[in-house]
Amino acid sequence: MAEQALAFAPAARRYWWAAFAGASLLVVLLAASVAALLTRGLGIWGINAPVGWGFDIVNFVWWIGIAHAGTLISAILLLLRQSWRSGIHRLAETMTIVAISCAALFPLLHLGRPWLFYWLLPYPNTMGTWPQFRSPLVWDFFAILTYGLVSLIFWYLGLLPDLAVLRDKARLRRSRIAWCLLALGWRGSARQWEAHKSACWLLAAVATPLVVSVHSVVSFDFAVSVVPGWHSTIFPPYFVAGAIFSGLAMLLLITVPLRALLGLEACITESHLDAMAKVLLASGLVVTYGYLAEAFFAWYGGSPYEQFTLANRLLGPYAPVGWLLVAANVLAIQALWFVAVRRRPWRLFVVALAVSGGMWLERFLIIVVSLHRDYLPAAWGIYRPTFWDWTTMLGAAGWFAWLMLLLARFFPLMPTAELGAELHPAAGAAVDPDSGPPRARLIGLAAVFPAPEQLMEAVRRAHAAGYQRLDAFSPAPVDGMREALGQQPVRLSPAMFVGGLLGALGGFLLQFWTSAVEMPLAAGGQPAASWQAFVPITFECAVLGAALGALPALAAATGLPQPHHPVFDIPGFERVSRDRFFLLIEAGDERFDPVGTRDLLHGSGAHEVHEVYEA
Amino acid sequence: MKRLLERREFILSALAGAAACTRQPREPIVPWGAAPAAGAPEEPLYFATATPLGGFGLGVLVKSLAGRPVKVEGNPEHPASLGATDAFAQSWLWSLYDPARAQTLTQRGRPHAWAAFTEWLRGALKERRARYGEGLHILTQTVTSPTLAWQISELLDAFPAARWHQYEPLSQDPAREAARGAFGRDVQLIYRFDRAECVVSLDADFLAQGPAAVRYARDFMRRRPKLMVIETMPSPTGSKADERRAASPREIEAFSFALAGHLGLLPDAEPEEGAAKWARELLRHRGASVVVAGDQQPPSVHLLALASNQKLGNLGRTVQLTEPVEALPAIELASLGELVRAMETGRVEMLVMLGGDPVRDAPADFDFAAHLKRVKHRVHVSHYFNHTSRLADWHIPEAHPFESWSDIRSFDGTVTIMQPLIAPLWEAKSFHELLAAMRDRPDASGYELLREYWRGRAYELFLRAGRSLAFEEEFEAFWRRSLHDGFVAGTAAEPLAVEPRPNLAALLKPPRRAAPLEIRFKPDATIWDGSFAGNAWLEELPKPITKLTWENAACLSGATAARLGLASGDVVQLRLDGRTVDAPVLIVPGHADGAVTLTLGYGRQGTGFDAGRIRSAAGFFSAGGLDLRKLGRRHALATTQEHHRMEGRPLLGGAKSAGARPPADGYAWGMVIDPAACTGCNACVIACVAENNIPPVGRAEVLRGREMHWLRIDTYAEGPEEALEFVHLPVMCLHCENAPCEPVCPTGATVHSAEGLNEMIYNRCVGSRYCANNCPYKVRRFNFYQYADHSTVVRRMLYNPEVTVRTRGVIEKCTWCIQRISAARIAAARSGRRIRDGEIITACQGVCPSEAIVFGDLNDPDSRVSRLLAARQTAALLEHLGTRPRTRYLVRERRDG
Repeated sequence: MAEQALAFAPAARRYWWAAFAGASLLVVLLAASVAALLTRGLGIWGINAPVGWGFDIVNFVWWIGIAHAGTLISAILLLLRQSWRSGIHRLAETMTIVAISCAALFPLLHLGRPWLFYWLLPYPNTMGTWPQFRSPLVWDFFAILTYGLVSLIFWYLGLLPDLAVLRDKARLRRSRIAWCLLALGWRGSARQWEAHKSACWLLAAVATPLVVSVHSVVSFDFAVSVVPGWHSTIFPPYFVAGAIFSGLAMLLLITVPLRALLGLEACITESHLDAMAKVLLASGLVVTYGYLAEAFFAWYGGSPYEQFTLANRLLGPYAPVGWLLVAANVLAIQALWFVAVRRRPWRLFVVALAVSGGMWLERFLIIVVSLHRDYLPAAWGIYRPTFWDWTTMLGAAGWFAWLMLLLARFFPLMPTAELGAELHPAAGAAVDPDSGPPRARLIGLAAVFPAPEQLMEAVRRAHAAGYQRLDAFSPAPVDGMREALGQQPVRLSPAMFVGGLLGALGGFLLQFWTSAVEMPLAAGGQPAASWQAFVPITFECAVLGAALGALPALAAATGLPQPHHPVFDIPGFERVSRDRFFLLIEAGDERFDPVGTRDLLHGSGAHEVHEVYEA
Repeated sequence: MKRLLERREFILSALAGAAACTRQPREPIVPWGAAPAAGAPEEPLYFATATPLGGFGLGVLVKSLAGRPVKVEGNPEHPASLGATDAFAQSWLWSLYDPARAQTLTQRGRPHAWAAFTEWLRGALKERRARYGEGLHILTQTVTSPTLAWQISELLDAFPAARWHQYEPLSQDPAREAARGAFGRDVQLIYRFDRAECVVSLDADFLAQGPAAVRYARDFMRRRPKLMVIETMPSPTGSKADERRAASPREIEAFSFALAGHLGLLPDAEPEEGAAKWARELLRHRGASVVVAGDQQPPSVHLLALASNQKLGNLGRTVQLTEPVEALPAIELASLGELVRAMETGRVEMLVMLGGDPVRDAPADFDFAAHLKRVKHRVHVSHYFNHTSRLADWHIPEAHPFESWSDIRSFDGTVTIMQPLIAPLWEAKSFHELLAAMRDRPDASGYELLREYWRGRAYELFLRAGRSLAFEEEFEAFWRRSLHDGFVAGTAAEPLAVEPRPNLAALLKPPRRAAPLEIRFKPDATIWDGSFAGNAWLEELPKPITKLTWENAACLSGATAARLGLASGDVVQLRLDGRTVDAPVLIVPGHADGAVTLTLGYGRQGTGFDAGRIRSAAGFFSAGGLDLRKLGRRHALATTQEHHRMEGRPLLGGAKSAGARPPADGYAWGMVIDPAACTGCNACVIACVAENNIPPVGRAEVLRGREMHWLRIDTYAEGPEEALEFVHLPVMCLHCENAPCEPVCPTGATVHSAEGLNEMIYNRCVGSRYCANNCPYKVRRFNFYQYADHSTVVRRMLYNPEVTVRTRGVIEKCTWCIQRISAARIAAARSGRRIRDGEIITACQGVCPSEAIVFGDLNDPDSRVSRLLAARQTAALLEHLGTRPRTRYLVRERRDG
């Protein structure tokens, strides 16, 4: 089954090529649209005086919303110990990263002078200027940067054992080297597994508030403004729910066809789909609540401007958008109350399609329809998307598909380690005993076992025999292995705490110093040290600091990256990522004895015992 | 031809860049006010001159920087200006640097030298001379220039059989006819709104239209008499009315009769309730009221107005009678008719046309073009190579008012000697120089000719004043003073002590019967009669009320549109007397039912339609019997404002905030705007454009909602259709104390100054447009494309060097003319004092005829702005948002009764 997850059948390969060709065309379209934009200017889009943001920011919010489902499934469901996530979380994480790359495109392109985007970065410069940290756009910048980096770390960390699988399976030298570098020398040691698990948990713990914060920050772009229809305290939770809603819908849109195409029905079962559909329904109901709350606030708040905005959404020139949105986001999801929909992939697909479109329309409604008629009726206008608006949007979707297809083809979409943990290995073929010439220094003796139980037994025996310098290697984590080996638990949290603290302090002090001391600007009548405005970036920096802090601790605990390790020379060690279990007793151990130790290993049921020499 | 152009541009750029002084006129010109010390080229100089409109002048001061005219201001001492200008006066700068101007003297498209032309002219005139000039005709527009009139009369002396015709498509014929009928001679009427208590306008847009409008608006707004207006198409004047009635042209005529009847002039006139009410109001203000008839009303309405004013005892008080200002007042339609008949019968052998475009704007039934082709020699002088130029043998580029010597009279007769600020950018000649060439003086310069005339005239003036006859000295002093002041003292038209004929009513034809659908031809609010067509500053100016740019429309009321099954943007075919034109329909709030209003002058540059195609001599200003057919096509109209209702929003009012809170020391700039004084005339908008290098974006971009004007006039029409109340709200950046735009900018490109300005730092702007979204007043503009023209050399000369020319991708907005604040600050610092109140006049404030805008220091309790804030109730726009704008609006004080 793990093999299935990684390989494309010839028929599927043809579909892949067709899809890839289509996506490539759209990427070319995107490139053309960007070229037109850069050479001619933002005027090629339909934005104008009252509607300063159009498809650009609609698409940005939509894509960043989609990105949220990945983290939700990876992090939040991990913390909630939802086992059904295992079949889809890699897919979701991959989708997250790709969606972030799509989302990040738009804030960049929407600038009047995109080549100066780096002026949003705080860096000492000859102009003597700093970003204006009260602006939600700068918060956005930090939030997206943090989210992108943390998602990437999370994704890569989860991918490591699978990259090792690819490395070990690779036939061509070229690809073996590439995978070897990417896998960083992962060898499935107990210590590595322990650190890996701990890192995943802790990153999930920081990613969970992060995912909530990112879409909250995105919603601040609107909520802190004075525009009727934007200026609302319900926006952060409403946006987060909407993000999860749209992200799950997109995940379903990808999962359902992929499942059919690659025959993944066994990995992604109907129960998986059912669970996703339930979460989709739940988040959709939260979104519906958001709509009702908005309407209530507009009515109860008594502001004629807010009331008008609400009425204009449903009765104004963009009324079809408003009603379609209600149909898709409120009515269509009611079908998910029925098992007959939740467990039928293609029915689910239709609902997900409606929700994806509906959520795009929601962003259009919030952004364009609020802006086009705000306070002064004399300044009202209308927004009409142009050819280039559509091509840029389609192009971005193409970019998404293109990257997803590439990653799906070359990277494992199913986490083999997690799935493999449930597997029982086939009986191994006998491998020739080591017959090479004796090499440099003996590192230790390695025993090969066909199953985790035997490995565990051998570890227990060795430990009982007083061996201290032991290490076990397995394709998947083996429960109780750390205790059996007598290793100390891996503790990443202190480093992450320090990293987070440094990040928060650094972020806050940077903002405070630049805004209140170094370059105090009078903006909006706010005090120079307006600390409230510095909270979002401080938080993002804390999360980024914590995530980055985990990396050196992780490296220290696992000894990675170390692309080559003497154990790789053990004949048959490439199967450690699939179906072989190894125990290494190091020569440095006080009790090590080339003969006695070998006997011990043989005695505990090892198929083979190899000498491991320094490379 | 292209290479030729390139070479010209190269030379121009060299001239503009390297040695600006070489573009100075050769003759001495005289700056206005105290001239700064020599050798300070960065110091602006102001030169007094005048800009023409319909033959009449408006005294202006033109700012010149490094030898380049860059801004037009009103001449505070000139009676027609009093410091303000109209939109047209501002626009002359755009045309000065317009590469589309005619640049070369041509004979049937081939370039020639002036000498070649004068050689030809000499020969052609020699033939004419033998027959005392028979067959020689001269067609001018309305001439008030004393020098030109003198030259023409000299020419006519030399060629006694030659004929002189005058024609303007927006002539004053009905008023002239009425005056001739009433007085038996030409008489000019000048209204004194500064003495009026009560004004009735019979479709007269005296506050915003015509050569006297600037002065009239100033007088009117200082006095604020009660105003009652009956009009077809809502106008700036109508928008200021205390009582306003919408009526078709023939209903207006009938109303005039009824009004006269209620004033006791026509015993057998039918009573009408509304007219009776207005008549009572007028009778309550005998001697202090005015009845004004619109320029495009028929002579009968003018006569009725005159009779009413006589009856009310207004003549000599609020309505003054003077000698005519035109050199030779003519019933111009008749004058052109004579020319056409002469051409038709082959009696015209040589036609010299000074300015204008009669091929385009003569009445359609005159068929001017066809008859013109029968003339043997056709000479045309004009700024642009227009439809008439195409049919001329010789076309001579006309020198721009800012690059040639001339003189002109304003509505009250005051003469301005127009001095050039720059040597002609291209090969161009003035009318004076052409007429001199016709008198065998091809090389006489405008300067010589002007001096020649004025030497004689000054002698006369001095004699009358009983001055000494040390003439040469006196003349030089007179000349310098006249140039310096921008007008020649003592040249206002002489008052006349004439009485109209006793029984004027006998002259009147009974009112015409109302037709089911009438048509009204009006001057266009931005391109006048079409002579400003193609002037992008004016073309992009949103027309008052309709806010239409770059084109015209068939304007009608909502009820009429509903009756005809039409919506705004529907294209219809208008048929009048067998002639047709296709036009898009625009529903205008407050328009009269049963009538369609067309403005003139469009259809020349590819935008709009030519209303002249259905305009005949008989229905020159209005006609009945219009037929309208829906064509089923749609046309997008480029308006800058699509909603004219306030939607019940308390824009000026609602929650009260503490208002601005200036810091205790230093300057705290503030502005007060009086919406009640604003007529929506657009002078401020175009002044802002000129001062701040605001680029026009073109019709397509306006359609996309991307006009760049920093200052716009929001016009709302409130109340029921039959009693609409118009509100003009000039809105620019209000410089909020708590500006919502500032904290959302990611790069700090818009920040607050210590003096309370919301400042925009273009080169720090990355163009996120967040500020524009978050501005509740929507005053921020974004450069979606590279709108400012960086590449056309001559256009670059237009830019005010004191203001940054913006590039693509940045936001811009009103700066309160920060460059003027800086200039005043520097001047004050040099003499070690504070900036005085009134020293900083923003561009919009300076030109406003009705003084609706006041700018100054809030920290100075004696500044005008502080005194206004203390004395009057003011409100901020959207006060409840707590943005605390530094610009506040005066709350209208309701008139009692």
